[in-house]
Order: sequence, then structure tokens, then C-alpha cells
Amino acid sequence: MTPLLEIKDLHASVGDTPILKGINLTINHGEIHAIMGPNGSGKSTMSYVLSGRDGYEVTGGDVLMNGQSILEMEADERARAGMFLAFQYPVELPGVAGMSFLRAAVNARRLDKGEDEIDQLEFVKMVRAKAKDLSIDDEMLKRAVNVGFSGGEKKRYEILQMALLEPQLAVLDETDSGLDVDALKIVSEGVNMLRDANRSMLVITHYQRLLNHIVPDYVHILANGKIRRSGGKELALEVEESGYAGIDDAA
Amino acid sequence: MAATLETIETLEQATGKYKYGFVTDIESDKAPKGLNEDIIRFISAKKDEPEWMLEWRLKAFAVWQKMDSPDWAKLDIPPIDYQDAYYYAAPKTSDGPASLDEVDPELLRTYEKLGIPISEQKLLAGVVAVDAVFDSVSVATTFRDELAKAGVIFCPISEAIREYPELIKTYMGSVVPVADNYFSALNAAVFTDGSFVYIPKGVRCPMELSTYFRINEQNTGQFERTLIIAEDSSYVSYLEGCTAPQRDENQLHAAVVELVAMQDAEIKYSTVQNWYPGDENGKGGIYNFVTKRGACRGDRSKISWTQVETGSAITWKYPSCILQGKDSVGEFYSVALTNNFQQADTGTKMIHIGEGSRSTIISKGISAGRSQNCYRGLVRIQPGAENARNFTQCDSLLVGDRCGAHTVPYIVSRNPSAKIEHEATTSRISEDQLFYCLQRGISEEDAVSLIVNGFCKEVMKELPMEFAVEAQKLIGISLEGSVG
Amino acid sequence: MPESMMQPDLQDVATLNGVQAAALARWQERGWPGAEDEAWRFTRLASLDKLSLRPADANLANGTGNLSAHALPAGAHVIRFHNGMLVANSLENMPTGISARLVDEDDLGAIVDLAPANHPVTDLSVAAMTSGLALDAVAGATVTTPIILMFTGNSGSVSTHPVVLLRVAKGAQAVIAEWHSASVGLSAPVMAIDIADNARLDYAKIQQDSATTTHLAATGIKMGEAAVLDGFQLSIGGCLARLEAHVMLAAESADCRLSAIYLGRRNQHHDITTNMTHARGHCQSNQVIRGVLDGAARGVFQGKVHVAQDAQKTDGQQMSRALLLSRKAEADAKPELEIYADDVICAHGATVGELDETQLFYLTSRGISPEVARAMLIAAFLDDAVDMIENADLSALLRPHVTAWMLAQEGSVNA
Repeated sequence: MTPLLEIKDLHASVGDTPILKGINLTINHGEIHAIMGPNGSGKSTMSYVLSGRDGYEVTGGDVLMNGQSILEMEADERARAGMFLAFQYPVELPGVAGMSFLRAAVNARRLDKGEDEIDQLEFVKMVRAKAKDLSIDDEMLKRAVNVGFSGGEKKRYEILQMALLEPQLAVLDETDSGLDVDALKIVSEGVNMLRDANRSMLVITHYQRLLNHIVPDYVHILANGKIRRSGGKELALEVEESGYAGIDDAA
Repeated sequence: MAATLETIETLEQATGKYKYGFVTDIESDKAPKGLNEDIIRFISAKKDEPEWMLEWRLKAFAVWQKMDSPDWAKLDIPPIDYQDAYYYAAPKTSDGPASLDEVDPELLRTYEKLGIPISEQKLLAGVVAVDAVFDSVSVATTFRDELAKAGVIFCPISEAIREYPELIKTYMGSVVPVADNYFSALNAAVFTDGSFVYIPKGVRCPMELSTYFRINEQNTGQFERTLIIAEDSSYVSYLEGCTAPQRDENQLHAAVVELVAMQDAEIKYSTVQNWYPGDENGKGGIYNFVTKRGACRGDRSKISWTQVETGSAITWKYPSCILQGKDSVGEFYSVALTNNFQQADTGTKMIHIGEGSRSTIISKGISAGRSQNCYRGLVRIQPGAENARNFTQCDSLLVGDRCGAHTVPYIVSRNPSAKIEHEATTSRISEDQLFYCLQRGISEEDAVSLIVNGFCKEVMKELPMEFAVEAQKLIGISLEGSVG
Repeated sequence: MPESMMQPDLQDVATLNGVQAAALARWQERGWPGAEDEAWRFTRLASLDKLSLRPADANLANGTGNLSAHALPAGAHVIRFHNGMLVANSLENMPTGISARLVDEDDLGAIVDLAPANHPVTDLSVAAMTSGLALDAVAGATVTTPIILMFTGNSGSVSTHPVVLLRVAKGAQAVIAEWHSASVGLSAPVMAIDIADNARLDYAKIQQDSATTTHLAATGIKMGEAAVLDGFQLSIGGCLARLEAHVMLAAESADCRLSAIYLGRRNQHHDITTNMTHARGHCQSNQVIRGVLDGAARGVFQGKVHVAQDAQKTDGQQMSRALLLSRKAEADAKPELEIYADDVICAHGATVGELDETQLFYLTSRGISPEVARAMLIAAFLDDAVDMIENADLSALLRPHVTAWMLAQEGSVNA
């Protein structure tokens, strides 16, 4: 079976500065991979390069999704093809009603697949049901996207979007940052509910603690633009104990 | 008929972006080209007006001839040849206001095409009453009987001049004097139709009133005049919509709107202005020079202007409030969106005269393409306006780096107890916001429309429901071609 | 040719050179702004025509103003203009790094290029000036000694036209103050300031002319790459005063702060007009304006921020607040944004009001007398602007005037 995602010798720069220096990674359907690394190792750059943000220039290598290169695709095309990025810092959209935003995103995907737009009432019901699992109340759904949300609310709202958009690949960028223990639990449970054989995840994190809640199949250590070590979930614990020092050399 | 319909559809497909750009193929009755006393006599005769009205017009014409076109706005207005236009055009079949059964089916079809309900049976009874103005005449006014039961007068102004001369003599020109400005003088000389609304004491108008203005004829100016009088403790919500065919030459629209609110009365006036804006190269489009002013004459009276301005090649428009009554309230909510080569200079004047008068100004300007968009506003506090309050928020959004956004507020305060606060910002859509939407699979064009609509939210929520949805779509359509 | 007093007599100004002749021609063509002139909407000059004045000439230069009345920063160097004429011996013993001399025709050309263009004061004063100052801070010099340009005068029948070219060369730093304390009919100074790449100017202006003086200033400032201006204007004297400053941010990464305070009472009319042009990207400008008006005074603030199409990444901020202390006072404001670039952060704000009743009550409820409470709140209100001044000497020079103004209560405060 074709892997869901293949990253082949990926090089990328921001401005004139090379950040990713030859990443190789294969994610099969249903697998959860964690990327760990120190600050400045290129973790967030990787999430932006995969999702196609402007200003992140691929200077070499390729990224294939279901066997097809996605590098020529715009960010919205990649999203509709099943790539979802849970942002480290979700941005506020003043005045943009949450429900309209969610519906616009869901409909964009449906129209792409040749389906009809979703019925409004049905949609509201669906959102409410999924929101409940994430302890998101109606009042929060009525607000403008991310406006006035606490850090924890923003992260839960990201997972709600993930649940609605049903991506094939979810990239979770430092989803644990800024969360207290309770919020981390809610978010992780939300993510775990979305685990299934057809959905893969790339969990980017600095700390091991998130991986106690979202248990990965594989762990990779990213440092200085390259994956320096790969292993099972136990690798995360090892890093937690000994830190990232010395990882650079252990290619 | 079928052929006409086909033409309309073809045109619509061809024109795409401006979906109101079609022309109705209808024979019309026109005055000769040009502007002089004879033309004014012609118009007055056509309208079967009393002598005093003609005199009023002629006096206005004399005033206008001595005036110069204003040049203080941030607008580049090409010279206008006032002799090279028609000042009166009317569909031949419609001799003034007709009952609905008599309205030319071609006209009914036109309004249907524009999404304007002027056949009553198709409506949920009693939601909106409509006055439809086609070029220089009102072609239909709906629900008049129903309104009459409540004592509300809603009719073409040409009819009001004949039927209610005392009201017209008292109020017409009392808020916007003939000599107020160049365009108001021109309008006073040649105005052809428009709506007249009278809400008696204590009456809450049972439905929304609305007028749809349509310019159809080539080389024809539209000069409508609207007068709304709300007596003590009455309430009315009035909507105004405007469209015109897509033509290569510019056409002139110079309207005057006067509102009078007596004690405890409230007038809510909403406009969705979608005159043809010209094409992407700046060819064609309506010149929209409009004087709109409301007088809050009574204590605790309130006038609220809401406008969504997306059309016209040039917009020159400052809906204002004269806050004479004690504790009277003026509001101005505006969205002005310009794209391609459009120019808009729009804003408001809040003149605080009465004690405790309050005003709120919320203006959202969006510039795209190579357009220029200017907010211009005056807040004046007169010495007697004890404890007056004003709050103004002007935000500008730039879409692209070839356009301009300008903010020119004037503040004059002559009373120490008054409090005026003005804030203005200029920015663009942030790359972060755009990427966030894109990452959710929303296309760039839809994302921009979504974000811009969010930016306008505070104003949009002031629009009556029927208009809000339409206005939202309009913003998306008007921004087409501005991204990427 | 208008019969106005302001018409410089060609015979008196016999040395008229090419630059001055051209300025005179422009002045003769346009004269004072008329009733339709939008830029002078809030400040009309009709009263000027009633005065009978003649431009100052060399005969008046011999007078001596009273310097002892002015508290100057220790070690400051003072350059004096008396009745509009440069006092030559005040150019002796300039601090190291500063050169000072009389303007020549090239300097005048530079002044016309830098000063507000098409401006009546620029044209009139360049045409009518008889001695001007060229002040240069040489490249790389760091001069911390404040240089005070002191403008005095004692002839109510003259108009004075001092003209100053101030250049801060590449990498140089200078501290300059303009102090106007004259009793003349009209004071119409032209300041032309050029701050070169990486140079810094700390600048303050104090307008403290007599109650019968009309003060109309035209100041033009051009800033080079990464140049810094920390500027401040205080308008406190005169019967009618307009301090007009145009700043051109002509290269990238320049940083301009130009704040102002106007304090008016009786029938005073103060006008602060600024024109901030961002011609290049990555520059920032910030203006904090505060005005307090008592008696029948009128205060005007007009501030335009213009951002050219190429001036991406501009940060332009402006905030003006006016406080009305009396029923007869009036405050007018016209802040203006004119923006042609899209990647910018620009904002302005303007407020007009009186002292906050709740704050007053809070203070008096703590046992503070209403008078003191008012003074405290006014001082706090003005501090927002005064605190913008970074240079300690300039701050020390300016603050006492603000305090003195507040102490000279008129009683109308409580009216």
C-alpha cells in the first residue's frame, strides 16, 4: 500500500536561511509519529512547509501524499486534500462568526469532493455534538473565531475543527503549549477519539508529557534541520531524561 | 419577450461580476437633451405640478447656475457636461404610479430579476413595502392600502406634491436647503421622483419601507428626492437599494434625502448602494453625488444611517444628523468598499446642538485594486450642547498595494462638558489570518471575503435581516479580482 | 500687489539675491492664505492686515534683550536673534563639533528646499530676512552641549523673519532648542533642518512670545536613513500662534518623534499643524499632542500622516487630546491619514473633553482641595506628552514653563 506521507530529502529555507537540511520520513496510514526537538530545530518550519505556507521555500527534495507530490499545491488545496494543521498559536479573526467559518471550511472540502453543501441545521447539530466532547459550550461557538478565547479554548477549538474536517493527516504543532493539566487531558482525549486506521498524525512537541496522553507509534528527534534519531515511544522518555544535548552528533 | 429574457441572460453571463448590469428593453419617453428652464418646465409639466413647485425649481436652477462644483473631496472628478444628458426619462407605458395590475410586465420582470419583490402576492404579507423608481418615475408602490390603514403615507414624491402640498411646503428643503451645495441645488431644479413617507404621531410603521432605484436609460441622470417625516413617538425603518446597467459612459446620480424626526421619533435609514462601478479598467460607472441629512428636531429623537457602499465609479456622500433635540441621538454606520478604479469620499456630519445629544460613527473602509477610499467626517459641538457625546471609530483595510485609504476627520468642540473620542486605524489583512483560513481548505478569495466581512461586522449587524445577507454577498462579489 | 504691511520693501532689502527674489515673487503672487484655503481652515489671518508692520532691518539689531529673565541649562551655548537680526558675537566660542555662520545664497537655496513648500511663511521670511544662521554639526560629532537659539525683540511695530539652516551631518548628534521670547508684531521664523543618515537631533521649541505677538512658524525637517529626531514643541505665548512643521522621512528606518503641547487662555489662538510624510519604508513616527484651553482660548491641531506607496512597513502613530477648562474655549482637531501602502500600521486618535469628574471626586474625597486636584490632573494629562522628551536638558528647560502656566490660574478654571 502507498504510504500516506513520504518526505524525501526535504530542504527548506526561510529567507536566505536554510532551516530543513534533508528530512526523510515515511508515515503509513493510521500511524502516529512524534517529532521532538529543541527550540530552533526546525519543528514549526516543518509544519508550515508541509501545509504550504508562503515564505517557506522548498529548496530540495519532495513531499508526497498518497504517492502524489504536493509541493505545487496551494495551502487551501493541500487542506482540502486532507492535510490539517493544528496551530501552535491559532490566530484571531475579528468579526468572523465561528459557525460561518466552520461551515465555509467544511463546504469547501465537500464541494471539492463533488458533494453538496451541508444542510445548515444538520451542520449545527453536528458541531454541537462534537463540541460537547471537547467541553466547548454554545456561547463559545457563537463568538468570532478565536477572539477572546483562552489558550486552552483555542487549542480545543483546533481539535474541534480537526474533528469536523476529518483529515487524513493531522499535524499537531506544539498542541500542549500553554495548556494546564486538565486542558491537556481534554485536548488529548479529543485527539485520541479521532485516531483510526485511516488517519495519521504528526505530533510536534518539545516535551515528552504530551506523548503520555497521545501515545505515538514512532518518535523522531529533529535537531539542526535533520532527523537525528528515530525509535519507538521509549525514545521520548530517553530524551526526557538525558535532554537534547549531544543529539546533533548522533546522526 | 422571450428574446429580451435571453438577452438579459446572455448579458448576465457576459458581465458576470456585476449581475445587475443588464438593460431593460422598454420604450421610453424622454425630455430633450440638455439643461435649461424649458427642461425644468417640461419636467414640472410631466409631473403635473402646481405652480409653486415650478417656481421653487426655477429658483433652484438660478442658484445652481451661480455655483461651482465642489473640489475639496479627495476625488478626481472628470469635467461633467451637464448639457449632454437627459434629465427626464420614463417608461412609455407607465404614466406615473399605477396599480400593480397596470404595471408593464417588462418592468415587473426587471425588478424580479433584481430580486426586488414588487408583486405583493409573492411576498409573505406585510414584510416590506416597496416603491420602485425606474429612471425618472416611480413605477409601482406596494402595500399602500395596508399602510394607509395605519395612517402611514408611502407614495412617490411627485404624487405627494399634488396630494399633500402643505407637508411638502413645510418640510421640503427644510433640512437640505436648496443652496446647501452644488448637487443639492441641481437636484432641487430637476428632481424627478423619489419616495415620500409620513408616519403620524404614535405610529410604529407596520412594515419595512423600501425604495429601489434603477437607472436604465442611456445618458440619463437620476435625480431623486426622498422626504421622510416621523411625527412624535413614531418609528420607521426605510431601506434603499440602487442598481444600474453596465455602460461604457458615466452617468450622473444626484439625490437629496431629507429626514425629520420629531419628539421621541426614530428613523432608521439603510442603504445598499450598488450602482454600476465601472469595469476593471475604470471605464463607465455612475457618479454618485448625494446629499443626505436628517434633523433630530424633537427631544429624544433618533436618526440612524446605515450604508453599504460597493457601487459607483465616484461616490460623494455624507449622510448627516443635525441633533437639535435634547438627548437626541445620531448614528452613522458605514461600509465603503472600492475596487479597480473606484473612488469614494464618504462619511458623515454630526452637528450637536441639543443638550445631552449623542452620536456614534462607525466607519469601515476597504480599498482594493487601484481605488481610493476616503472617510471624511465632521463632529461639531455647539456651545449649547451640554454633556454631548461622540464616539467615532474609523478603520481602513487595504487589499493590495496600489490603492489608497484616507481618513480626514474634523472635530470642533465649543462646549467643555462635551466629550469627543475619535479613533482611526489603517491596516491590511494579516498573512497569519489568511493562512489560517487557507489551511482549513478555504480558497483565498473566500478567505478574503470572510475576513473582510468580519471586519465589517459591526456595521452589517445594523442592517435589517433582508439586506444583511445580500450585503454580505455583495462584499464578496465586489472584491473579486482583487487578490492573487 | 497687496497693500499689506507684510510686503517687504524692496528698497530696504537691497541685497535681494536670486533665491530671495524668487521667494518674493511667490509671496507676491499668493500672499496670505485666503478664506477658502483648507490648510488654514481653523486659523484665519485676517487680523494681520489690520496691523501696520515693517520687516526688521539692521538698525534694530543693536538692542539687547533681557537674557537674565531666562533660566538656561548650565553650560548651554546661546545664539541670539534680537528683533529678527542675528547677534553676530553670539556665534563666537561654539562648542567643538558645531560650526555657526551667516547664511549665504547656497544656504538659502537649501532652506527653501527643506522648509514647507508653497507656504506663505517660508516665502515671506526667506524674501524678507536680512541675516540668517547656518548651523552645522559635523559628521560623526557627538555634541551634548545644548545650543539655544534665543529669539528676543522689543519693537511692536516690526515683523521678524529669522531664518535658520540646521544640518546634523552623518552620524552626528546635537541638542538644539529654539526659544522665542519676543515682543514684536509678527514673528515668522523659518527653520530648515536636515538630519543625515544615522544622525540624531534632540530638538525643542518654546514659543513664549508676548501677548501681542503673532507667531507664525514654518519648520521643515528632512530625515536620512536611520536618522533619529526626538522633537517637541510648546506653544504658550503670543496672541495668535501657528507652529507648522513638515517632516520628510526620506530614507529607510528613520525614527521621528514630534510631540507638542499648547496652553491657551484669554483670547489666545494656538495652532499646531504637522505634516508627516513617510516617503520610504521601515520608518516610524509618533506624535503625542496635548492641549489645555482656558478663558476664551482656541486650540487647533491639524496632523497629517502621509504614507507613500513604497513606504511599506511604516508605523505611524498620532494621538491628540484637548482639555477645555472654560465655557468659552474651543478645541478643533483635524488628524488625517493618507495612506498609499498596504503593509503599514497607522493609527490616530483625538479626544476633546473636560477633566474627569470621577477622578476629581476621587482626589477630593482623599482630602485634596479641588484646586490642587485639578492641577494634579492637568499635570498628569500634560505629562503624557512631556514624558516623550528623552533629553534631560531639554526636558528641564521645558517643564518649568508648563508648571508656571498652571500656577498662573485665572479663576476661569472654575467657571
